[in-house]
Amino acid sequence: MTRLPGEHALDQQVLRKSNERWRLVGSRCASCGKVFFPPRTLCADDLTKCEERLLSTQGTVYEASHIRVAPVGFTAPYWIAYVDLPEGVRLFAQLDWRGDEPPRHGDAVECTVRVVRTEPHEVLGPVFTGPQ
Amino acid sequence: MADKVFVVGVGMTAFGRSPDRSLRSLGREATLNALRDAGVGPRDVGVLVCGTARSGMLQGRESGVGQLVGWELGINQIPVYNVKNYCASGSTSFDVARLAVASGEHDVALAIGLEKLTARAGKGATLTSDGMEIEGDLGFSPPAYFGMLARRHMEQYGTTREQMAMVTVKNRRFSAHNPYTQYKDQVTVDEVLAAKPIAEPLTLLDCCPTTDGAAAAVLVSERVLDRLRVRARAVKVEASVLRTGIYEQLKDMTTFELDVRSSRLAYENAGIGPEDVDVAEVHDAFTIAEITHYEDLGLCAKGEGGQFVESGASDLGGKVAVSTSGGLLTRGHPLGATGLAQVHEIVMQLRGEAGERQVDGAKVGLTHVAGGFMENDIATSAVALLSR
Repeated sequence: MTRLPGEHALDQQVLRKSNERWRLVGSRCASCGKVFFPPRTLCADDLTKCEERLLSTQGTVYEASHIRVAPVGFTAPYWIAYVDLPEGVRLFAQLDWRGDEPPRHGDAVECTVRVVRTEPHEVLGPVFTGPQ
Repeated sequence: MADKVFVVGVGMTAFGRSPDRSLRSLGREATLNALRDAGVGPRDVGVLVCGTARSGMLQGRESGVGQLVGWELGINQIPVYNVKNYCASGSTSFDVARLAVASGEHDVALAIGLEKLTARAGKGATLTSDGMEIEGDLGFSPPAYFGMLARRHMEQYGTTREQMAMVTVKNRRFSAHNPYTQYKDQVTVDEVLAAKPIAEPLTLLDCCPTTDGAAAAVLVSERVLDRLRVRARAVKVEASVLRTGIYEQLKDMTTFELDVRSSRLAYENAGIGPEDVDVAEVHDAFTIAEITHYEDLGLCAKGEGGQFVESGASDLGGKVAVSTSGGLLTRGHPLGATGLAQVHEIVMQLRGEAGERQVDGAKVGLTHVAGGFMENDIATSAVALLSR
């Protein structure tokens, strides 16, 4: 799928540079305090305007899988996971994982930001690493 | 009180890879089959609804597939609704047609669904999903989601890889007796486990294939059953429910709250319980999905889906025969056509015309599609209950 320059650019939507480091950004409802990822403009519960909030770099694996056949634009094999962050959000991300067996439910992982795909355009995104 | 709605004709194309066929050709064949099955003519149709998911991306026809198929068959002038709703586009077409008749506005509605999915780029690559823009840029695919779901189900409930493989083995057995399916060769549990890995633990034979096809149904009001001479083979729509998700993030992946909610509402609307269902077509895009759907649709208790298939409860002669058509796993999954192919199978079963895969004395049938993704949850759920 061809995209216009900047369209759906992941780094603009979900990443912010803070102290020379890329961080994942979500949004927090000023009224009820609920945190959302991906960031949203209005709170889904009370339609209060949300404010941007940098997300924790530490999370835990909810579940993971080793991808052996990739969608277009990616090269298999690679690991993916759902990672839960302490703010109460779950996000899909690639995992830098060297083991033969997948990480276990609840394993601690840390967020880094790297190039996650190069075709058809370069995309910067979160890649979680664990204690290897 | 809404008017009663009946399905009086169904038709479909054989599903499979049809690179040389156009959308209009697929749609024409399925719709003509449905009209002939009903014994009604193109001029009898009062409203046409057409569901596709990818016709814009793949064939450059974002709008107007319904007009295109109508044109092929001399169906013109009447209102046409083109609907797009992920994998539930066909079910949505069915539900809009039902609404058109139930409202009293129309007496004869034609619901069509079609897709020519083999036109997609990346042969052999996994399909991506609308509604997962950010995740798509990070390497998301539906098999990735269901691979993780499978691992959660195994850990939480002790479901085994062998039990998942039994879904494919069962559905292939049904498929051998269905002329409309893509894959008919029989496979063993060992062959499913040893097939090419896709998203661990799922292999190629745990996943539905890439498919082209079309399906259609004719829905009518009670007041025209006699005038159109269609009462004898009419199947009643007891309920049809279409709902969307709440997109809760920290959900238990092994259950779809949306499917639980939509099926409970369908049972309530119909005054029918899951124990009354004789035959069901569920959204078995992956083996673990069929197991999860048994549970969410109330066909067995939570966590017992693996045991349900292993015991034969979802096979012919079991508690409720599931995916007697062969399901998405073997019939194939041309997105917009799937919901109406499910209606096709249930209508054949309730009319006693399913041949070797017939469920004896089937009175109540269920169709279920869980369509698309939206922020880590499924986006749409469609459940219908039909009876005769």
